[in-house]
Amino acid sequence: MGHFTLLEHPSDVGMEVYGATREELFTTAARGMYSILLGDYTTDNVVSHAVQLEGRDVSNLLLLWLNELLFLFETRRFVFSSSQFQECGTTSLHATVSGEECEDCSVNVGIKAVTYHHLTVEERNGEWYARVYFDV
Amino acid sequence: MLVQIAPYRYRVPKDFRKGMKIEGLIFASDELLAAIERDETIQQVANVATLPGMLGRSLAMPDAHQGYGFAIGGVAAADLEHGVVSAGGVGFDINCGVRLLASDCTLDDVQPKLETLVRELFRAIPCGTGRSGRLTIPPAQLDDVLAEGALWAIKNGFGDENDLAHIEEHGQMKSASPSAVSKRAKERGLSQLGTLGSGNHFAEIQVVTDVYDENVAKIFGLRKDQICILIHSGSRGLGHQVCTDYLETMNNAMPKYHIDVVDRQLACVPIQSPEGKAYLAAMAAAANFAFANRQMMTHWIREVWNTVVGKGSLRLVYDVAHNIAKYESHGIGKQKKDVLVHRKGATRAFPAHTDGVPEDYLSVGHPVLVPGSMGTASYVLVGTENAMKETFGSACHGAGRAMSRHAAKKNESAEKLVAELRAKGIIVQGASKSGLVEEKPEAYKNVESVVDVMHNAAIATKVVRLTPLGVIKG
Repeated sequence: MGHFTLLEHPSDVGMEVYGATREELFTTAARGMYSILLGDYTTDNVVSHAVQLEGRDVSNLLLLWLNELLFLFETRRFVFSSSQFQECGTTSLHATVSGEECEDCSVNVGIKAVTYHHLTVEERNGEWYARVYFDV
Repeated sequence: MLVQIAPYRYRVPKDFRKGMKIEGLIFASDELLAAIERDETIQQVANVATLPGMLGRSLAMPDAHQGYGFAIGGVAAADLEHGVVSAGGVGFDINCGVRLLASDCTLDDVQPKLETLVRELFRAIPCGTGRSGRLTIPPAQLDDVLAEGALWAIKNGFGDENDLAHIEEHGQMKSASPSAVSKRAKERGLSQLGTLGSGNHFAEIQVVTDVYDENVAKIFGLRKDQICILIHSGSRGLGHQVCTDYLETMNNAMPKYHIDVVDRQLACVPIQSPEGKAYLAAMAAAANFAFANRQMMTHWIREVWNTVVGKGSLRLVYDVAHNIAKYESHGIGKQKKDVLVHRKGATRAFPAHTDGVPEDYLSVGHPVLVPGSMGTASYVLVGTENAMKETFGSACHGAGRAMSRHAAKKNESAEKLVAELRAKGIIVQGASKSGLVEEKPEAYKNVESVVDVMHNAAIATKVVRLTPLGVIKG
């Protein structure tokens, strides 16, 4: 099971994420971002959205993925629960994300954007690792 | 190694890192420099100096701290023909800025009603962390907001035309093009029109406690013991998305222009390129969204004021951006050149008799608004000729963070913080407990130290000091 830890930053928030596969990394990164947004949260698979993205490389793809979910949260109040990947390559991704739309969710920390600051996605010792910082 | 070249001025030499085309210059005291040296600020000042077409020096104000690409507190000017524009040089919160309103009332008039005033302001000003604000407009109207800014708000009943003269750009950047703003940025913005935002955004009831320059204060309409209201807010999700969108556009376009950057947050394109022009047009539209927001919140604040205080009115002293890129004319060496000034966490500070200063302030320069952190003082400064010579007419924007959000939360609770501030006579009401704690006064540098550097370096001099009485946070 993938896991994430939050990172200290002088003014914002970051996280390190680990996953056995790219799919698990991306899913765990999504959960990490939502934990920053909402604190501890649970949610069901009630609604779904299709996500299709093309990036320059796998780091860019992760940034685009998280920014897409941030957009869905801000505009649809979509809270991520799980993802099913039809494709999770290094430059393209096709997935169905499931969760709930939560009108009265109270935001713990508002996220403005996912940043390129020290953005890292790489395979290390047989597992996938990512580091990403958010402008809050 | 930094070299002190004059009081409060530390040069970052061109050999600090490979590829620097200009030097850097940091304005700081010894104490603030020690804090600046603890994070990546100086590296970021040096990185900005590697961008094509940068002129003069890459600057950092005394409240500088590490940002994304540019440091927060960073200022850099690019040659219009050969230079680049960088979305990271403005930041995600386009036209994050400050607005100061002045009343006809004193502390004695307002003190008995303070609790009610804070409560009613908190009710009246949507923080926007929920799905929507107070106002819903049809999507088709959003383009009018993006084109007209504060003027749109006034045309729709929020405030009056007299407000416009005291807003930077008269509250409307005419270079805005709503069509340069993506559909998804508009979607993010539509539900957040007229909202305050969270994080370090706030509205604050303040009292003028010190007047340092009687003449300038009189021209600004400020006096001791006067009650004022300060708003700190930006372009919300719309601006954040514009920056996100154009960071991608710029990162994808850079190879075409043979530009390589040391940090993808510094992604940039030639100002004169289609991508550069599109970004600047979208940035201006997002700036107008922020001007409209602050105008709408001003209207709601005035409504509450009339109901709760019922005495006098709230006059707009000034509204100024601190995340923006502006076409300006500045001395570079012995020549005057048209440049694009990036201000990221830095405030314009134009002195007397400078284009862009409101007519009734022309004899002294426009107010430079420097909010402190929650529970600490704010300042009004005024720019000087030295600012025009040394900082592209720029000054600091606030106190700058000194502590991470995680560290701020250690051994602290919102209840304890609110009680501590109340004991000092400051009433706080916030939408998020976590947000309150992260914004506690100790999380920020000492604003007095920051402002003293600007004053002692003769970049922007002190006019008045204001202390908080009530704080509303998103």
